[in-house]
Amino acid sequence: MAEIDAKTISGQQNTAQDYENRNERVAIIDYKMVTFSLAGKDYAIDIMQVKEIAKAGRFTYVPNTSPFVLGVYNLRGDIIPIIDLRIFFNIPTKAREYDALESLIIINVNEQTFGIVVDEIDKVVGISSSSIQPPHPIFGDINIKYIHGVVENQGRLYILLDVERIFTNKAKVAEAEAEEADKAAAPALAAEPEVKKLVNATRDELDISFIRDALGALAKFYVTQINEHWVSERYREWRDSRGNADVQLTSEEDARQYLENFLSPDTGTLWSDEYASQLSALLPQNSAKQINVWDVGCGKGYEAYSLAVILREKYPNARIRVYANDSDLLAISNAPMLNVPENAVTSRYRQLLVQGVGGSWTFAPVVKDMILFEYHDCTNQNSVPNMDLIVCRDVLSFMNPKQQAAAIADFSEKLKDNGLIILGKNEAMPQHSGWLRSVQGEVVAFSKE
Amino acid sequence: MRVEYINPFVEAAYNILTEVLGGEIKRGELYLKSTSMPVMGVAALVGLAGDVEGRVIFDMSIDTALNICSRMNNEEMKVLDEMAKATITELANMITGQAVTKLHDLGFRFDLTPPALFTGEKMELSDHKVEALIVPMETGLGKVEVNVAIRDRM
Repeated sequence: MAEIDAKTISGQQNTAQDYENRNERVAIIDYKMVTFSLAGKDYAIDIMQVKEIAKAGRFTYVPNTSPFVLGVYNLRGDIIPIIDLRIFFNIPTKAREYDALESLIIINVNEQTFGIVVDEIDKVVGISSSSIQPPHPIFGDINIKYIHGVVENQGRLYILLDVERIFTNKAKVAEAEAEEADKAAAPALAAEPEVKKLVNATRDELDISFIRDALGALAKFYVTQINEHWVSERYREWRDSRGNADVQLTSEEDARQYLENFLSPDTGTLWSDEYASQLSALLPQNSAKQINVWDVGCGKGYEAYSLAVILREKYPNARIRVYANDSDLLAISNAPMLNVPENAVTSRYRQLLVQGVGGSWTFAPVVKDMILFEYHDCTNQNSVPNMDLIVCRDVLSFMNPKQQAAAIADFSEKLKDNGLIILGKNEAMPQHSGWLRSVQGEVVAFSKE
Repeated sequence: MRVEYINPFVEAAYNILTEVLGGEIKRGELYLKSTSMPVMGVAALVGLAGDVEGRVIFDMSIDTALNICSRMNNEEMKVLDEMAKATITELANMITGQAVTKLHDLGFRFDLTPPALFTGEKMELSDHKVEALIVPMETGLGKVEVNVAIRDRM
């Protein structure tokens, strides 16, 4: 026992000596730096450039600045710009909470003061300036031109940022942006609230904006990115058709007329052969054994049955399940026992229909068993499995913008990576939101990028 | 909720209430709800299991509950005692039982759990992630809300 203890002590002495030796090697500490972390990596800034550190939040947002400019902050009377280094370096950031306090390093560059937001501020580390090694591209995720060097200290590797370079560039960019913003006063106004926008808007734009409001109030039709293209196109037709009459929508009847040709083909009936073939052509090959389809807003059920028939042709070997929802109880109540009028029976459907005793046609059990009709409002919790196909024609437009966004997020979550979403003829997913558009005749489909 | 499940519950609630309470029973507009909702004072809960999972809740005010108990037992009841509670529980059982029988005839297999009764003031039901079908029933003795939340097992 005593022997072991003695050994350990001598061991410790050895390590202590090692340390001393090493310290002698880096003997003179002539450089101090403030260390902090970004996405788990250690970074440092020369302490001479750091004015102070602080915790602050709720920065005042400034419109028309680069995304990494969080806003401005009042530091004891001085208004300083706040920059998020993580966004600047394209490092993933956590979602910002409204009230959260951020770790802030206040720095002085060329007599200008900036605040930079980092994940966590660590401590002040003293080193010898001779131990700073030139940067190598494999360190860190950030552009090498912003790195002053790399320093090792007590087993940790710090990436020393060249603050001057980062911020002199930034200052120039910011100035240039400010100038540009002045020049392009009109586009800048676009980001301002509606009132200002209307000042510059032409008569037509003004009319459209009133029509948007009227559609929301009279027809529960909400104009968003999903359908604004169609609404503006339709406005021209509408204006011309009204002649001298008032273009504004003043009654529910007006709103109904305005939306007259918004609905997709074959709404409320079995799909025509043409439409069915177009849709079928868009469907990808899929060898999965189980194919799930979500028909949102199936109405009386014609849409769900048409879909079931097409899918059965397209994927003869798969087990197909159509989850058909509608929040209109009266419409969907009869869907499981839907009667097909004689004149709607085309050859595509005939072989799958059976004639009842009264002479009315209903779908055969093979088709019926594919579909699960549910009285369900898709703005509530959706408990469907992951989907290969989502059909949601002319439904999103009749949800308020918040519900629309929630529904699209839900669709995106429930859709398999190789899945397809079919919206109404005049609807589209918001641009640049990760959806790829493909068109076949009157059918517009979206898939994940 | 699956369309086929709706009618049996509506019919069963209507039939049983008409049978045990007499008088005119009016059915209100059906609707879906997924937010948390206040409970009027007395709530009887029956769980369902089998091909589906879910529950049915019968919700009414204490006054309505006492009125119903008085009518069903043919004696004036002023407090919600053991007897009264048992009566409301039984009513819940009868309605759910009949609905499940109807569904069984249609080929759906359900099992029931024994009913549980909740009483108290200012209660709130907050399984708001579940979409529930609300069937409001206006009886001569007060309002009874049948709250059905069932979904197919995936």
